[in-house]
Amino acid sequence: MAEYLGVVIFLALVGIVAGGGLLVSNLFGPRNPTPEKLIPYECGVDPVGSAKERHPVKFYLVAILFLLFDIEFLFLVILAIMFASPQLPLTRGLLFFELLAFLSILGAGFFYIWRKGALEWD
Amino acid sequence: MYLLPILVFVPLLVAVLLLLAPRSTSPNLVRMVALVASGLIALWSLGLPLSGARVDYSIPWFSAWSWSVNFSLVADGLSTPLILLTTILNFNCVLYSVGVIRKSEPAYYFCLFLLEAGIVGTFLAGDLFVFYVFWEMMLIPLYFIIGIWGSEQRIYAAVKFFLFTLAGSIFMLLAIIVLYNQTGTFDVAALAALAPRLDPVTQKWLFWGFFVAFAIKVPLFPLHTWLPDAHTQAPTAGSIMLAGVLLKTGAYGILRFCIPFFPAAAAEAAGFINTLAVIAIIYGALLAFAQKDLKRLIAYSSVSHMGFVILGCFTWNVPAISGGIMQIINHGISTSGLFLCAGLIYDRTHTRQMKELGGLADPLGRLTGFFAIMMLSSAGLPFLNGFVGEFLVLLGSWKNSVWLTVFAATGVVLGAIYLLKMFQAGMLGKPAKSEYAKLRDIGLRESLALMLLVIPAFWIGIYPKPVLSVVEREAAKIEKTMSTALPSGTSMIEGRALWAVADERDVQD
Amino acid sequence: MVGASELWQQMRYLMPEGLLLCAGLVILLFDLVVKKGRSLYPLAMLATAGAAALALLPLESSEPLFFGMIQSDAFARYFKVFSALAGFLVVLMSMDYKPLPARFVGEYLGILVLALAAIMLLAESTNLLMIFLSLEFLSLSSYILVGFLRNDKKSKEASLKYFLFGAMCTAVMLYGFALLYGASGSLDLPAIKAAFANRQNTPLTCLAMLFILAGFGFKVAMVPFHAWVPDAYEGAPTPITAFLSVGSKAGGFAVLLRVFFTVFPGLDYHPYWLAVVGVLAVFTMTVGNVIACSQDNLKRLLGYSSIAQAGYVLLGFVVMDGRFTQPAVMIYLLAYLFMNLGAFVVVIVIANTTGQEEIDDLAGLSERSPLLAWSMFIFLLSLAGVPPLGGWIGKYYIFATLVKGYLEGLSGGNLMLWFAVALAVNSVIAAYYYFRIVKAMFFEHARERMARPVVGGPLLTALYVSLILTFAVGLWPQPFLNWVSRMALPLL
Repeated sequence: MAEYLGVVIFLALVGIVAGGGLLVSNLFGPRNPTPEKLIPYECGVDPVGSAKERHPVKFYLVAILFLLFDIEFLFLVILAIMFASPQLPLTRGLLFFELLAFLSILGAGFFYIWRKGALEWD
Repeated sequence: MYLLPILVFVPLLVAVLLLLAPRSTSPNLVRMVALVASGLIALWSLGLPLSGARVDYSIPWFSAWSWSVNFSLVADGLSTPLILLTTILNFNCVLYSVGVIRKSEPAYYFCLFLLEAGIVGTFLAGDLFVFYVFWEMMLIPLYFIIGIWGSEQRIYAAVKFFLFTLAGSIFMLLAIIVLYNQTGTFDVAALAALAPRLDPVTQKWLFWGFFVAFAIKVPLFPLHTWLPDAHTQAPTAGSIMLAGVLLKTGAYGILRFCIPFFPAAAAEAAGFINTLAVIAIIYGALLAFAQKDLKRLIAYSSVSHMGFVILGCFTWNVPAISGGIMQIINHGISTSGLFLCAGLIYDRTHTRQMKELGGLADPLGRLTGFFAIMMLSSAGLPFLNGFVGEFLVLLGSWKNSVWLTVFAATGVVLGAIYLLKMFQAGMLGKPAKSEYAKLRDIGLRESLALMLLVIPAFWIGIYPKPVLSVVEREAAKIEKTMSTALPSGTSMIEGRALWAVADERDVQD
Repeated sequence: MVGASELWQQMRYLMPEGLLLCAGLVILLFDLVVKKGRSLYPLAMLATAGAAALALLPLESSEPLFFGMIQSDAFARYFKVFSALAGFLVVLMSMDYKPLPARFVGEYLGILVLALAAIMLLAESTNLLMIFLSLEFLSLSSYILVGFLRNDKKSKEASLKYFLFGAMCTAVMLYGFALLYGASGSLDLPAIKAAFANRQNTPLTCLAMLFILAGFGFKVAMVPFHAWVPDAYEGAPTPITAFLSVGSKAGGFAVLLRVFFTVFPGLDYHPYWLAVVGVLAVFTMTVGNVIACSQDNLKRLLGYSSIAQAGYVLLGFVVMDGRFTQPAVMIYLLAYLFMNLGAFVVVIVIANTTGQEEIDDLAGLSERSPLLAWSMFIFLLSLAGVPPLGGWIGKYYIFATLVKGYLEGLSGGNLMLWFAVALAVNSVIAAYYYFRIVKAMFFEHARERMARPVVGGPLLTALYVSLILTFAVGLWPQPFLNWVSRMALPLL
């Protein structure tokens, strides 16, 4: 466990520096609140209505779909990096076709959500 | 060579045929099929005593991972009389039922034939695994017979019967598996040689595992409480099969497995079990005396009479054991006769309460005659079958323990009292209702059914030799097992002390 | 370097699940085009039947495939056949299941077929990552399928409960995987085994074992991870209930067998294992049986019964002897597949007739439909372990395994005999509630205006297949026993 001691010390230092800054500014910083200062900052424009309003559930659908495809494309990055690696456990041709298979399944999924109408807003 | 499998599988086949019969089948056809089939099966079973002292049949069933099971059937002196009893009683039941049962008949006869197959299989099994299969198989049809065709409290009685017997048998299964793993075989004949060599502690556990299952079936006091309910609620045919042969599977199991496999444990337990048996004899008789319901009375008389069986089985001299076996057969004949009579009375008067009966001797002359014979045979009158068994049991038991015998003998006296009281209340005296005068006496079919029981009752009573010689041979075998398992010159009741001696001897060695 | 031809060679072993995966995708895509859900049933049936046929081909390899992720051995093949067969019957059962919205049949079948592939993958994974992936694959598909009746409050509640519970248990299991990785330095089961060879049990490995048991225990409905079962079983579409009770349970047992037979024998851990699993198994069957006694809803009752059945199977694990445990567990599962699916077929018919699934709805069934009543009776008898039916052979071998373990003097042997006694007592309790159903069917009379149940072709087929095989396993067990013993893991 001794080799982890450095990490622990490092973590403790990080905590002290970050927490200490906040603590010090909170203790000694001047405080002069006005109504203008307390409203949420929206690029200098006065906010309209409450921030706690209901969003259409469609946002979540889009967000989820985005996340799914985003993560799946992440795999492509790894594959692309591996493509040039000398420690590749399989032949490059095979890797290429695996990539194609992966993409076509991904494409099928894309086609599916498209036809299901998940990408249409109305 | 196919004598035995046919005896098991034909009833099964008939049962399945009846179940699969289309709804449009006429009830008459169903009845005819049932009658003819059961008659033929009964005739076929007569081939057993004709084809020698021992018949067997065996094919491998399945084997895997060091467990192998043979489908083997064996008929010998112990099982043959019981199988004859089963097939004849089944014919008897069908004969009676064709006139009475009107509710879902194919299913009813399906149950009867399945029951017959199960019981015959139980008596024939030459392999413990096969025995267990049949043992469980006979539960189901009787459950249905009580539950569907029984009287008011039938569901309660059916469930109680089922759970009691299942609880007993599942522990027997455990004992069977342990026994197999200790000896490497399910074969009954091989086990009879191997099992007695197991160490005493294992023997003791296994003995009780088997014995509790059998004692529930017999039923032995204090495990008897399911019996009165089941008997009272069952339809007549159910009562006949239950009293006539189903209870006997328990006694058969004790004679076939418990005692030959675990003689040392049996010797150790004998004092306790014999005491229970005597309690059952007296307790059953006293309770029978107190009953107001005709069928309940006969049910408690069963508890009492089966006590004699247990007493005989656990007293190891030839007269007592053969008396026990004789009592098994006799009780099968007499009690099913009594139940049949009670059923016939119930069909006519629609009551089982004895205070609502009475004076039936006049309109029901023939039935009264049969009833009297059956009652006297059950009471153990000389020249009727009941006498032979009880006499032999008491004779043998006397050599073993005078006190137990004296108490057991009071059971005979009490038996005579409650049976005569039953007969008097039912048949003699003034009619409880005026319409009883117009009752129809039993016809040819019903007389035939009763004759089938009266003839063997007289036969065994007057000339028991043919049956007795077979039974004595079996009894001698069991006696020999016990006397080789235990050094000679010791009374069995001292088995406990004997083990102490044996242990000391082991220590000295 | 692995080339295309070599990988192609390895692909042969994945034909059944490959077929199912393709079929799942095709069904989902077809659903977009044809719009008529019912026309996809034949496709799903073809896919499951084809997968069963492919799985029956003797294609086995004891070599690790795909970089050690998968081992497509006989054991895996057994569960492939099992899952394809279960899938086929479930598809048949779904065809006539009324509450299923016709509009979504395509999605339903697609996900079902994918879930079957997940079971297959689960049974052959030999890498902790792969196990986790296929377990999650199976779980996620199951969550959706359970909540498929989206207008039914109970279905939605069931799905949510199942999901929350599953997420929790999976997280714990994942922690166990992490600990195992930490203790051994590898994710590959054979490598972990090698790392553990002849090593002492440490608190770390014990903890890992327990945590992993939580995840798998959730799948097989082991107490205390059973709480989802009654609600999920009641709320789910009935064919899916049937699928959960056999398919996903079998998957759980498969992976349990593989992980615990591969990883832990190297350790001297038997006493712990005996106490933990034995006591959990006894709790599982007792809780399942006792609570089942007071259930009036058939699906809930069968749910609790399936908890109890999981307890019986788990008792087979107590012995942890390669010669007995695996065959006993596998033959039990085989018998359980047919008897339990059969019972659910009857429940579906009843639900189609009366619109609900209470025991009262079975009243007088023997008069209204003798075929259904007698079939249900046979299935219940088999579940209760009455000879000579399939369930009895299974129970017999569980008993025999325990007794064998006891007599061969494995450590804690006396306990095993007590476990066997507990199993015996539980069998009696179970008989009580199974016979409550029998009582309703045969001894009680139908209420007025109770329709005569109509059984359509697909349900009838499923019923007959289950019935015949329930009888076959009991009456002529030899071929099944031979098969099972050939398919057992060659591990110990």
